[in-house]
Amino acid sequence: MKGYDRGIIAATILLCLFGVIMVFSASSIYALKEYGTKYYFVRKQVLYLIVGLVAGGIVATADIDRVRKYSKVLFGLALFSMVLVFVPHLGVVVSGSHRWIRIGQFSIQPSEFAKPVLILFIADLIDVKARRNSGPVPVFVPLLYTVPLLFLMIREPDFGSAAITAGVVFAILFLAGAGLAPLAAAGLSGIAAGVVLVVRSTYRFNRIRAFLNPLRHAHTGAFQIVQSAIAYGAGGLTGVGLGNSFEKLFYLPEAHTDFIFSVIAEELGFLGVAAVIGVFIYLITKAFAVAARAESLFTKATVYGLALLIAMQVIINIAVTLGLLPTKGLTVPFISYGGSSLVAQLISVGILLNLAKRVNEGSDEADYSRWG
Amino acid sequence: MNAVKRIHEHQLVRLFIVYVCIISGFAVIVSKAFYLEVIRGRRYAEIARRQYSREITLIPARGAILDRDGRILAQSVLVDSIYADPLLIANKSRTAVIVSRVLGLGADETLTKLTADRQFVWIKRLVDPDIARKLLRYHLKGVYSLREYRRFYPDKSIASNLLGFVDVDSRGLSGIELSLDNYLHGNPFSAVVDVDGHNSPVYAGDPINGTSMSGDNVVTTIDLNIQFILETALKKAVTDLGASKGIGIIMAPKTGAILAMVSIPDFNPNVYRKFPVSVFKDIAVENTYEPGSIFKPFVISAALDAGAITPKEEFFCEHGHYKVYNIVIRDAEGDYDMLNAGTILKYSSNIGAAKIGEKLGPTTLYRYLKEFGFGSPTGIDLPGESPGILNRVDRWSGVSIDTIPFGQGVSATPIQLVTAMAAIANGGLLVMPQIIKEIRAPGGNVMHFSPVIRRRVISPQTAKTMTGMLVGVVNDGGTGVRARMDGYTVAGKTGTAQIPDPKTGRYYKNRFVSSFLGFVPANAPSIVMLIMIVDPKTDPYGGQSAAPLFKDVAGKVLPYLGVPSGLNIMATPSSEPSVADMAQVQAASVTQTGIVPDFRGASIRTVLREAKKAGIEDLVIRGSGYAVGQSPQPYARYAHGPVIVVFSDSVSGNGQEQRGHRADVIKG
Repeated sequence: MKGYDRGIIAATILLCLFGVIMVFSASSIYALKEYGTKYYFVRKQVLYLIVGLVAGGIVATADIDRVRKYSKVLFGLALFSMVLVFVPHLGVVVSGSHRWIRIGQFSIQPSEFAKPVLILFIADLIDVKARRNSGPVPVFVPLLYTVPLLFLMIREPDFGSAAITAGVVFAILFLAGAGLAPLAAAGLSGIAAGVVLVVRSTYRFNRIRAFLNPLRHAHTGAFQIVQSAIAYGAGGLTGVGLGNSFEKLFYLPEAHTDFIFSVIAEELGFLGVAAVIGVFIYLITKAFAVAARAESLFTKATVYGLALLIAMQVIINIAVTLGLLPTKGLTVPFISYGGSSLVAQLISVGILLNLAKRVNEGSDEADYSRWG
Repeated sequence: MNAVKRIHEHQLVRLFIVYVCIISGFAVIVSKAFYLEVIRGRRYAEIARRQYSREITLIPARGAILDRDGRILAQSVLVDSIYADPLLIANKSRTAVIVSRVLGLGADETLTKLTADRQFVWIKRLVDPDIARKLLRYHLKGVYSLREYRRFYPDKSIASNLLGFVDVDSRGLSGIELSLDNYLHGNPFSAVVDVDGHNSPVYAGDPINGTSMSGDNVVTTIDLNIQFILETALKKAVTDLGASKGIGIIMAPKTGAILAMVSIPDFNPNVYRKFPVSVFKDIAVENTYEPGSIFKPFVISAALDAGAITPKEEFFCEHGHYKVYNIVIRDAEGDYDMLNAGTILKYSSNIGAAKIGEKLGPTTLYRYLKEFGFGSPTGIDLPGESPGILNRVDRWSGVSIDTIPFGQGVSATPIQLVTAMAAIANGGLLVMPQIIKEIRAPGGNVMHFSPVIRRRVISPQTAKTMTGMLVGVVNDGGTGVRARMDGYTVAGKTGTAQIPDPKTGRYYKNRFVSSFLGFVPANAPSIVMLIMIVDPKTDPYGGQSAAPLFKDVAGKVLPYLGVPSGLNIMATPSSEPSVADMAQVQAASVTQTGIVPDFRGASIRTVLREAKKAGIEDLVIRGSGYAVGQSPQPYARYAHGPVIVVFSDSVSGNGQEQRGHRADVIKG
């Protein structure tokens, strides 16, 4: 434990344990009705948490440079596994989405792992490039690598993940010092592509329409948004009390995954919401502070990218439950039910801790010699 | 170095810009959360409250129907009903395929329902909960379930015509279910409840007190075991004889309590839709029959009670051929010369009965028959009771006074005949037939139904004299000799009534209603029983078909009721069972599976063999020697659980105690 950032560890574990409690609260009645035991989901979540903590611990203590050396291989693996979800019998199709591959008793969602792997890969790429020539930060090469991943995500379809991934890559390039003109050009073409995709896809288009006019589509996509708003409103300042949510009784769909924050809002009120967001802000601020002090571009971009990934997921998810954004299918890091996301996020925190330790010990600079 | 530092500072600025963006994002969501939760909170809380609470109408659980010892005859159980909201269903054909496969419905018919332009259609009601759960596992959007009550009759066809059945909304459509529907059904009530997103009520705090809202339980006077004995025997007889219908009633003569009432054909009320409407009639109270010779005892009782004749008085019976006006009255058995009232009954002489009728005269006969209850409903708590036909004297034809005494030109329901015979059995009192013993409200209030005595019809002395004559019918030479029992004295009368052709008004030559109406034991009757077999293809005479059935049924019912028999096996202990006892055991055990054989008097080996034959798996043997007692009672219906047989040399206790135990077993 020595040398590791205790604040990050404490915040992460606090959020995870709180997540277990909220998953239990939000899923118990649904689980009882569907699976005959109210512990169905929470039992699995605890198992995922243990796996995630072990994996994160291993990553935190590993030699990050060796991991970095294999970042190309890891990225290749990530792309490959994203293809596997479309292979019949191997890929699991849930209500039309190809997001999972089945391995034995468990389903794995490769895109959750692909996101941190992509950050590592891009950070390594620009770091190496920056050192080989002191010219402008490349924009198109990293984006070229990112596009196939985005394409696969959209094909799943998982538009939310694709948007966040694109956003994080842009933010990393921006940080690294890319010129604003090429960034803007690439960004605008990306947005144009996004608009075309939305209009061409009926389900996405309907979600947007529902978002714009909830009451008119009360029986389709907007139902969730209306119910979520009711959950927030019913919660008030202090909430209806832990376990007392009414919305989770089959009003709110996916109460233990995408809409778990609505249940938090209903049961714990504004004070609970503010406290949870406070812990997230603390965690992200800690990570940004590490990034600010980092000497190497690799460390800086990785820590910053991972922190940004977490921050964007939190903000977008909560914004969806508040009706500020159309529904996305994104989970709240550390809190929502889901094995792949929890394990991937705990591995991300492991990387954060590993790099933070290096920065705090002042050994980050030493890496230049190896790559220089 | 300077360049590196500049780049570093440049990156710090950009890092800070992004950080500010992130914090702004958080600020936006916290503000919106604050707005929704704190500023607009009340309004949303109000919407929430309105959304969750529903005023719903709850149909209370229908009360159970029980036999006199509380055994369940009919009961309501919660099952699932599947409904759909077609407007919520996106992929209707796929949903229809799954729903129709799981529920076993036609795919096209299901699809039609799912495409209806409504927000609520029943897909299938009263579904087995396992099947409903299987369907709901598919999570089909727009397909849901509600809990409803389904009526369940555990013994299927047993007492079906008496109990009746209910429709899909649990309203009684026939039988007791109909006549006591107001009690059984309970009152639907409205309640404001919280419902979950599937519209199912959520009972978080105060659950609705369902028990106090359920319908009343109805306790009948029926004894399920006796009903089972009678129904099984009668059903078999109707089949064996190729008859069209069969009716059996067993009544306690002092109280009028109906212990068993059977109409064949019967049906399974659990699946009543599979049966033709015609079988739902409870013919024991709804149909009327010309009674034929079983009517003679009432006419002769009237003549005796009115003092018109004496028991010893003899009548000339015209040697079997008596012409009155345009008709000829015949005696089936041949040419009788002089017969008194007793022998007229014993040989069932129509001419003798006509002569007695003539002596009594129309006005008095009419008055007595009215007193016996003919021509008026008995008032039993069952729907559709017929009053029968007893014309007023001024409408009688010239021959009515000659034909009514042997049961032609008059018609009666089976329940009227039993009730009238009960008056002879109990010393002259007409009781009201009683089918309901108690009505138990859910709160604990119990409404008892006391026996109702309508009036005195004949004097105790007349009843006694008549009983003696009816015993004669079952003695050697009488028409009812095949109803004679070992150990019990039977009093009764056979009947073989011709069936009139409704088109011509004449009697069919070869179609009869064969019957036996009697009571037993004659001196202190426990039961009055009517057996009626309508239109048997073989053995048309009441003495041939109905009388043996009376004997068989009474032979099982009386030991079950614990009526002491004159032929007491216990009183004659011997080291080995007699041949007669062995025969009795075998006769009892081979006839009915599902009925506990009468083991008493048999050796252990015999008991083991007979128990196996009867399908008894859990047999407990106590002691050795010969069987002296058993539990359950002989002829009780056997379901599950141990059958205990106690033998003469019981290991525990001395002889004195054994006798006491035996007595308990016998008396039940």
